[in-house]
Amino acid sequence: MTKTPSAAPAPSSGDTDLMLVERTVAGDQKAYELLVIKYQRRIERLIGRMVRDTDLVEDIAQETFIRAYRALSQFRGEAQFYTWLYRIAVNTAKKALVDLRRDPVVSESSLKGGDDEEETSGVENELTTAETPETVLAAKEIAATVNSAMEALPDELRQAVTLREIEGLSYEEIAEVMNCPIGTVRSRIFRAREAISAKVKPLLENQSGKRW
Amino acid sequence: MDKQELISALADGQLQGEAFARGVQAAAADAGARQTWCAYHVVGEVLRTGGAAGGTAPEAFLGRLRERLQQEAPAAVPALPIAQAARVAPAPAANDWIWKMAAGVASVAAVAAVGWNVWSGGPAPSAQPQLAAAPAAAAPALAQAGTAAMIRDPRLDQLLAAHRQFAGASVLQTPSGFLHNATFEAPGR
Repeated sequence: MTKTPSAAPAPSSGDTDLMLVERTVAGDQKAYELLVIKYQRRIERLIGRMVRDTDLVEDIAQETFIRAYRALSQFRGEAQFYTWLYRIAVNTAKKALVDLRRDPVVSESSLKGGDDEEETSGVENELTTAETPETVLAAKEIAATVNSAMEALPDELRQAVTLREIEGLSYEEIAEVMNCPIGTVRSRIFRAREAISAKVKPLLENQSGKRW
Repeated sequence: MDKQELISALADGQLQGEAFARGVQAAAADAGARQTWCAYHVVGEVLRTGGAAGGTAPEAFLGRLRERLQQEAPAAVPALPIAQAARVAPAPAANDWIWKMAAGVASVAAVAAVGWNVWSGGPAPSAQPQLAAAPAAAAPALAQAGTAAMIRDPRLDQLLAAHRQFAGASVLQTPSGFLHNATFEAPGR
């Protein structure tokens, strides 16, 4: 697959985040766990750019999600959830660095690139200092597995998941492009994901209990 | 839709209402479902960016976080859903009744002041501005303004005296007794 770093995120993922926040605030902690799983890796990668200590990365990420949970009722959906979380993570990391009197490996200015997801993703796509050769290798292996599984998909499944994940089209738009019902679109995207994740899951399981 | 397909649709933000609730339940049901949720997002991340961000294994991270979350008070429940709350005006302050009462007293005082003014028949003639009282003695007046000469027509003074009540009122509802605005067109202008 070709890389598309500038591709827009899926258009309705923000709505899902907001609805998960609403459910959490209403008392459903499971909804918050889904948000944590969704963003944990990106947050750890972001924090990894600010601190040397790998163990500290996880501690700060944990603290970030705790702080976000405490402040969740103040989230109004005016910004993307990840943008809001990003700010909390950066502030938490800065405070941890001050408390521990450690120097950040990189200047803070490189973390102040912008507020939206597109701009913040640029920062995260570089190697982080907290990554070890093993984690880099594992991440590369996962990426290669996804790409090879994608190549092996039937055309209609590959096209459906490409339009969704890379082009960011809605189900309605994909149905129009592929000239098929929305239910078929949903089914094709699901089957494509299942085929790819079947190859990826063993890699995630092998990393159980440690960083990957 | 089976459970896995529900999780896929949830990841795409395609579920609403009851279906959304079922999707959340399905995705968070157990470790296997959470791994599916995680794997779908990893796949999307790789396809969009070309690489996956590594990190602590999700279940290990979540297990540790769960212990801390149990010590936290539940997130505060707002009176309205968040999406609605952003559109609704803020609730009145606790001391709102004080301001309402103060506004009522001020309104009564203002009405009383105006009423007293009307009842007393307006200010005494002596209180009228002297400029407006003067027109009877005003013969054709000559005012020098630079090179232009203005001759005041006595009929204007008579007209003003006869129609003083139309000359407008001040802020306190007392007749001003004189014209506020006038335009003078000199031949040379």
